[in-house]
Amino acid sequence: MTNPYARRLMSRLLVVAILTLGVAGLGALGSAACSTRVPTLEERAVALDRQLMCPICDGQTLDESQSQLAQQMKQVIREKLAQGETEDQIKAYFSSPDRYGPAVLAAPPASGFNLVLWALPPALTIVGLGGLFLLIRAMRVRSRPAGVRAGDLMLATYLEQVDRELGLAKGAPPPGSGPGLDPLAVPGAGEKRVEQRNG
Amino acid sequence: MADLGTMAVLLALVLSLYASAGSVAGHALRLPELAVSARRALYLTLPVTAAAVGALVAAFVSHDFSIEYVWRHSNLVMDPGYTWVALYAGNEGSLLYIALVLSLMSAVAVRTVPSRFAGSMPWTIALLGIMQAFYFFVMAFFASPFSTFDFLPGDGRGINPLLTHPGMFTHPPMLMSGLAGITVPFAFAAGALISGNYGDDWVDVARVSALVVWGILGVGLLLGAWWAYTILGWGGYWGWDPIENVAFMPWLVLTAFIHSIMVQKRRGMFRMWNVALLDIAFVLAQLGMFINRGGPVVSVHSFASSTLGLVFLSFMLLSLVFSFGLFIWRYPQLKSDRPLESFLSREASFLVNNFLLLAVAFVTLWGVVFPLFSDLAQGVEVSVAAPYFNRVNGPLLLAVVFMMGVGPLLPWRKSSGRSLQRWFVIPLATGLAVVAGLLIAGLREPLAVVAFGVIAFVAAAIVEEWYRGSAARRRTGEQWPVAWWRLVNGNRPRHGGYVVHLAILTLATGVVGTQFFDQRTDVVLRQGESVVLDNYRIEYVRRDTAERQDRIARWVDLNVYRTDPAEYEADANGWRVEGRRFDTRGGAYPGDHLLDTLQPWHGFYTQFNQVSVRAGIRSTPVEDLYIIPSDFLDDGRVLLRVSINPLAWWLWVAGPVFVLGTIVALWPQPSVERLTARAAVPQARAQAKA
Repeated sequence: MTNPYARRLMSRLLVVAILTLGVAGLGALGSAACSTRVPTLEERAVALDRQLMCPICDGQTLDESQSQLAQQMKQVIREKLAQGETEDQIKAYFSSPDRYGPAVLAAPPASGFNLVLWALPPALTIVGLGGLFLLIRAMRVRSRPAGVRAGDLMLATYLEQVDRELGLAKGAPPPGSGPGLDPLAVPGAGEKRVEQRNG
Repeated sequence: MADLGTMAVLLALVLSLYASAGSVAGHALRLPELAVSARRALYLTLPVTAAAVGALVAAFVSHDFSIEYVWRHSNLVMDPGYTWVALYAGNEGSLLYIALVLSLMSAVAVRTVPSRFAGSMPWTIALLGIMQAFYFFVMAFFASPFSTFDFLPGDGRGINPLLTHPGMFTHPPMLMSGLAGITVPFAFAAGALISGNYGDDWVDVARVSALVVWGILGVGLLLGAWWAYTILGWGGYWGWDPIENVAFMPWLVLTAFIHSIMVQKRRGMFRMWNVALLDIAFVLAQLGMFINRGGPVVSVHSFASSTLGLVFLSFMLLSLVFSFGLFIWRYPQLKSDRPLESFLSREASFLVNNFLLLAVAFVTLWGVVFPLFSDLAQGVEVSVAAPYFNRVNGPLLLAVVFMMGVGPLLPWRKSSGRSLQRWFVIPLATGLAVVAGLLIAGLREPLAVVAFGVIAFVAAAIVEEWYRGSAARRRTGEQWPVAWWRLVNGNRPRHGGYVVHLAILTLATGVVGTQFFDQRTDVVLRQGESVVLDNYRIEYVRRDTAERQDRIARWVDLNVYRTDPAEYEADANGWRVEGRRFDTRGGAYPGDHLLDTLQPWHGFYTQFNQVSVRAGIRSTPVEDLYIIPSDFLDDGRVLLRVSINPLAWWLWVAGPVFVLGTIVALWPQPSVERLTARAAVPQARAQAKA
C-alpha cells in the first residue's frame, strides 16, 4: 500500500463496490417487500390474538393469556376467520359497546381523538430532529468568529502539527482521521494519543 | 418484633430529617460540628433501617401472623428461602426495602466521595436525607409494614405464587434499587448546582454513581425478561407493561446521560444538558415509584396495588418542580466551555443518540399515560399495549442501535472526508454484505433484514476499532491478546462501553429473531399423539398430578424428535394427519430421532385462584423450542402451546456480557497510571513557571 496511486484506486474500488452492494440490497429489499407471501389462516389468527386484550386479565393480550375466556375468544377468532370474516370485522365485533368495548383492542385505531396517540411520536421525532439540526448549526455558526479562544487555537494547531509529524513518521493516518483523536482535551486523551503514536 | 420495627422506622425518620436540617444549618451557620453530626446521622440510618428489616425477617421466620404484612405474604408451608422475596411482596415491605437500599447507597456515596467535592456535600447530604425521610414518613403514617391485628390468625395467606421463582430473588430488588438509586447521582448534581460549584467536579462522582445505578437497572430489566420468559407462561419476555415501561424509561435517560457526560468530561460541553438529563431520570424514577406503589394503571404486576397513589403522586410533582426549578435557576451558569464544531463529530453524534433515547422514553411515557388522557378527554377506556409500542419504538430503537455504530467511528470535534472513508468503509460493507446475504438466503422480512444489517454494521465497527487499536500496539512487539488487553485497559470507560454495545447487539439479535420469525401452534393432544411444528415432532408421553398443600401441580412428559415435516405433510405412509397433529400409536416415521425430553409444569394455586407455569424449553443458539401446558383436560388430553423462538438464546447471553462491560467501564484506572499522572502535574507546573 505504499504506492499512493494503488491506494487511491483501491479505495475508489471499495466505494464502487459498496455503492453497488447498496443498490443491489435496496433493490432486493424492494422486491422482497412486494413479494410477501399470503399468510395462513392460523398466522392471521395469531396476529389477531396479539391485537386483542384479554378482558379479565391485567394488561395481557389474548395471545399471552392462559385464561378460559381468552381461549374461548381465540376459538371465536378462528371460527370467524374460517367463515371468511376480515380482521376489521372481527375487531369491530369484539370491541362493540355491547361486547367488551374499545378497551379490548390492544392499541386504539388511528382515528378521531386516538389519532393524537399515533401522530404525536412521529411528529415529535421529526420536529425534534429538525430542532437538533438547527441547534447544531447555530452552535457551529456562533462558534466560528469568537468561539475558539486564541490560546486553544494555537495549541490545537501545534498539537495537530506534532501529531501529523509523528503520524507520518510511523505511517499512521493524518490527524483527525481516527476516532477519539482530540488535541484539545487533556484528561483521558493520552490513551488515544499513544495509540496514534504507536500506529 | 412489631414494636421494634415501628420504633426503628420512627427513629430513622428523625435521623434522616436531622441529617438534612443539620447539614444545611451546619453549613449556613458555619458550625462544622453540626455538619459532622448530620453526616453521622445519615450513616446511622443504615443500621437503624437494617434493624427494622431484621425485625420483619424475624417475624416472617417465626411466623408471627399477628403482623398483618407477615400474615398477608406468607404462611406455614412457605419455603423459608422465600422469606427474602416475601419481604418485598407487598407495598409496605417494598418501601422498607427501598429505604434500606437508599440508606446504604447514600452512606456509600457520602463516604467515598472525593474531598474536592466537599463544597457541595452539605446540600447533597440534605437531599439524600429528604429522600430517605420521605420513605420513612410514608411507612410511619400511611403504610407501616409493622401494623398488627388485635387477634392472632392461625395461618397466613401465603406468598403470591408468581413470585416463587429464582428470578424473583433478584429482579424486583434490582429494579427497586435502580429506581431508588437514581437519587444519588441526582443529589450530586443538585448539590453542585445549589452550592454554586457547577464546575466539572461533580462529573466524576455523578458518572460513576449513575453508571452503577444504570447497571443495576439494566440487569433488573433483563432478569425481569428472563422471569417472564420462563414463568409467566405467555412465551414472551417483554410486554411493554406499564411497570416494565416505568423502569425502562429512566434506564433510557440514564443511558443518554452516561454517554453525554463523557462529552462534558472530555470537552467541557453539554453541561446544561447533562443536568437536565439527570433531572428527567430522577423525575421518571419518581413516576415509576408512583405507578409501582398504587398508581392508576393496571398491569400484570399489580399485586402491590394500594391507596398510596396520592402520596407518591404529590412527591413526584414536588420532585418535578424542585429539579426543574433548580435547573432554571442555575441555567445561566451552565454554559459550555467550547462550541460544537461539526455535524460529523462525536459530540454531534452523542446529541443525536441522546435525542433518540429520549424520544423512545417519551414515546413510551406517552403510551403509558394515554389511557388516562383518553378517559379524561373522551370518557372512553382504551388500552395501549404491545402493538403501539412495537410500531412506534421499533424504528427509534433501530436508529439508536445504528448510532451505536456511527458515534464511536466519528472523531471528536470534526472529521475529514478521508477519515470517514477510512473508518466507515469496512463496517458499511459488512452491513450491506449481511443484508445481501440474508436476501439471497431467502429472508423475506424487509425490516428484519435491515435490522440484521444494522447489527452487523455496529459489530463490524467495534471489531474494527479493536483490531486497529491492537494492531497499532502489536507493532511495538506485543502479542495479539496482550495488545488487545492493554488497549482495553488503557481506556476502560470507552472499551467497557463497547462490551456493553456488544451485549445490546446480542439482545437486538434475539429481539429481531423472536419478533419476526417465531412460529407457534396451540394444539390439544391425546396420549400417544404428536404435533409437528417445523422440523420438530413433540410426542405426549404421559401426564401426572400431585396435590400439594397450596397447589395442584400437574406436569406432562414430552419427547422431542427431530423430523422432516414433509414426511408427515405428504401423509405418504398412511398415518392420520389432522393439521399438524397425528396419532403416533401406530408408529411414527422411522427417520425421526429423539432430541430431548421435556417436562413442562403447571400449578394451580387454589387460595389465589391463580395459575403458574414453568415452560419446557429446549434452548440452542439457533432457536428455542418452547412448550407451555396451557390446560389439562378432564378426559386426559392436554392443551399445549408449542412455539419456536428463533435466536432467543442470544437474549440471555446479553446479561453476562452487559454486566462484564459495566464492570470494565466502572473499574478504577490502575493506580500506577494515577501515580504517574499525579507526578506529572507538579512537574508540568514547574515547567510552566520556568
